[in-house]
Amino acid sequence: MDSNELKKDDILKAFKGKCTIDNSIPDLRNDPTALKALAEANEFIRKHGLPKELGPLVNVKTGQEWHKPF
Amino acid sequence: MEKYEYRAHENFINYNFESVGPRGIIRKAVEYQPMDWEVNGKIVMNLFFGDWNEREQRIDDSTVTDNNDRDKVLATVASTILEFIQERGRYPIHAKGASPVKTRLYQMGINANRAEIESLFLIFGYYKEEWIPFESGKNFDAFLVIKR
Repeated sequence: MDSNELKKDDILKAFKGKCTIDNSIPDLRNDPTALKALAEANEFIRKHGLPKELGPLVNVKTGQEWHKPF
Repeated sequence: MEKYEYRAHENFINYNFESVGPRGIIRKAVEYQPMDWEVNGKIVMNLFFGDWNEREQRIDDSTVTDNNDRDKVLATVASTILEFIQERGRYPIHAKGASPVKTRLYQMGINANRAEIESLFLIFGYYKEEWIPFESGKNFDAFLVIKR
């Protein structure tokens, strides 16, 4: 793994607003619109999965593999 | 491909730049949002993009700016994808417009620069309840790009 690569825990922490913010850059992590867009994107993936070529899609929080509902 | 200069946050998750055109100077913002999903150990990142609302201090992905610079703006957003991946890792990037019109704009941007994008990324689109490789002439509901 590349040393700059985001680790699962790090990125989830960062998204909760625990990293340094440069004033010149908007911090969207508490932005309701950004969070809504993320929720919608998650819902889209939950419904449709991702291309099967990518391999199994796993839920980060539960570790469960996603299966497209029949 | 013409692009705006953008600024990157030191976390390489947030980016912003200014669109300049007939409607004035409009600040745009991009954020890569970690989703609840991972494939092959890589978290899928959602590309969230829109106008920066200075008054409310938030991004607005619902506005239609029409600043006569659509291709330049989309090329700039695409540049941030490259920088994000270069700096933080080869994450799958998911993109879906806030409306069908916005998603269509993404598609037009991909179409206009398809050869260049495909030289760097695999592009998938969601079409008729299935993810398929991107192709012209289909109206996709969402996109997924993966660095080659």
